[in-house]
Amino acid sequence: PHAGPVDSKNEAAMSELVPEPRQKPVVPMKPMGINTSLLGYIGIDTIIEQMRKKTMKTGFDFNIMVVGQSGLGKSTLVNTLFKSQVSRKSSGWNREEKIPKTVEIKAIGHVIEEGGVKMKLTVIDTPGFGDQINNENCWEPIEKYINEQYEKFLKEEVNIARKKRIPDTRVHCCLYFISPTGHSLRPLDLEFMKHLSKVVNIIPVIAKADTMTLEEKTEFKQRVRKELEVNGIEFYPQKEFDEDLEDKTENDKIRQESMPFAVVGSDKEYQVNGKRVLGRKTPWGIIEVENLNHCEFALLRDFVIR
Amino acid sequence: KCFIVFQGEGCRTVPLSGHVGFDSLPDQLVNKSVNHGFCFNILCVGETGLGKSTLMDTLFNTKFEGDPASHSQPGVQLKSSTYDLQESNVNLKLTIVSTVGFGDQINKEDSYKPIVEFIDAQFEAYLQEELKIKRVLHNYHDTRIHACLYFIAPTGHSLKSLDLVTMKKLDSKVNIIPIIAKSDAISKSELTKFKIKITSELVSNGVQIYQFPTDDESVAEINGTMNAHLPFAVIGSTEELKIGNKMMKARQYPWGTVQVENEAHCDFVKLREMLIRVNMEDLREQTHTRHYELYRRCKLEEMGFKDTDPDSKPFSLQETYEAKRNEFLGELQKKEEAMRQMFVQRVKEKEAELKEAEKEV
Repeated sequence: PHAGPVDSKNEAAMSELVPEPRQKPVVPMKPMGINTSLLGYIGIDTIIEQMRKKTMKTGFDFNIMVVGQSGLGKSTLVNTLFKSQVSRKSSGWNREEKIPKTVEIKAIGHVIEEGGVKMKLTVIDTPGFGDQINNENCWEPIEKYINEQYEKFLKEEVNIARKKRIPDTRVHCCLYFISPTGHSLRPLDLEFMKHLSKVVNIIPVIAKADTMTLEEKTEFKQRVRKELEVNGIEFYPQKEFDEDLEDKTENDKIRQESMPFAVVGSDKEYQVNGKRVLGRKTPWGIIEVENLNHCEFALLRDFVIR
Repeated sequence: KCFIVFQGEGCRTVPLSGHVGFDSLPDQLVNKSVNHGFCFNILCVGETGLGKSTLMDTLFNTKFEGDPASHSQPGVQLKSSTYDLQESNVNLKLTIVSTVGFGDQINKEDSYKPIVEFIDAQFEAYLQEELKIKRVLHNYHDTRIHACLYFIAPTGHSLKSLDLVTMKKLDSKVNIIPIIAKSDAISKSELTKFKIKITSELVSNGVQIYQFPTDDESVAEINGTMNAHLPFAVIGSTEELKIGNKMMKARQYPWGTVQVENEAHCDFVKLREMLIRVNMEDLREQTHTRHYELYRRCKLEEMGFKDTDPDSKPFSLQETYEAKRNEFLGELQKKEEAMRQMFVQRVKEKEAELKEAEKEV
């Protein structure tokens, strides 16, 4: 006869229903002893530092996929996001190679380090997407690739003798580049996002946003959001993953007001007001990539990375 | 139709030209854990009256519920209680499991069994959840034992055979930290000899106790030093006495006062430091990546060999999974082929019909 744990919260955890966003739980405090002087300190909160050290030791894997027609600035944006040449720019290969006849999946990994944190960043490019005359089902190779990574991971997980750390090649997020037409989403955009939002976190991004004025931008974003909603496309952050009320409020604001982010990418630096900034130079001014008044790149960067 | 090019098996390191911000990743991960709260489960194994409950009270600065056990238990039982503790913004779900009646029976041959069964039961529960098709692992209350404090009676001589047998049965299932209980019963010189004897007995019997990790430079030194102090000689007390001008946890004797947190008097501070402030996360990690994996592997292999298919071939989870998957894909292909055949057939029929119609015209 063994006495089981007193706690009955196990039952709720075993439930298969997606929980409604709930209030952050108030943890009942057990009396910590009669005195509250320094002698009362146990040291439980040191686990935060212990855990942080361990995660820094193992390092992180991040796999980001970029999808969109040629020329929308995908590679430049990813290079701007990670401040390094992690994605080969299309302007490089367009001159020598032709646009591929089918959708290709190119995954290139680099190791980047910042503040002692090591990250294996894999950028998965999809050249050829949407570039054909007949683009029917061009999302299928992409969907297949994503599922193949899940398959690979599951195989490792199901092994009897498993690896201490299973290599993670699963696509963590997919940036979908929307053309800044200013009108609405294209049928291809809707088809792709409809299919893929079910298997991967999609972050829709309005590319080359320097071709729109502020008003055009706001209107376009509203229309895009409406179209996504009408078509039942759930982009990241999805409602079902809101953990509590705080999450829901924060995420609702992002979902209903900020996204999709209208971005501009650049790897060239210019001098503005005595500072060196990333930007694009035009006869009518310099567009500062990281200036929130000019475009929403900084929002995207904070959202995805920080 | 699809080309997959993967460059980067030997990934190049690329320099950054500015601040990206992913150095916040450890914090992002840690914050998620903080929001979820942490679990820590300690198992105290030791004879009745060795001060297990008092030590837990002392370690966690609180009075946990429970009455002292009697010596007349018919068999060994395990009593488990869970508490919610909070310090700064850290919420800890602490579970303390204690043996009741350990060492009290006349015949102690089976004494270790309920303990092993309990530890295995927690592994089993986790394995069941992991194997579920629809699983909720991130919300799972982990009851697996992260640390086992083995209380050694302060005889001053050597380990009892019950101690050796029990620890041998447990060392591949849980992180064992041996401690000498009620060590104020031993003098300092006797203590040194006692520790040496215990350590050599553990080594000669091949008992693997938990080693504080020395691979991380920041803690390698302190952990290395502490490893040499095992087993920790501890004293527990929740009574506070005024010593000098401070209130301290202590035990008062006619011949003097033993201060719990005085490192010259006992190793309590060392135990607290190692168990909680330095290695709590490592204990959790070792439990998951070593002890649990071993249990899982053995359990699955055991199931694999007990069940045989009609051809009397042993099966593996991996092979079954592969077989089922191929079966599924095969079915899919068959269906596709059938549909294609049907389509071709219809076209032929239509063609024939048209030909007939032409003839008539």
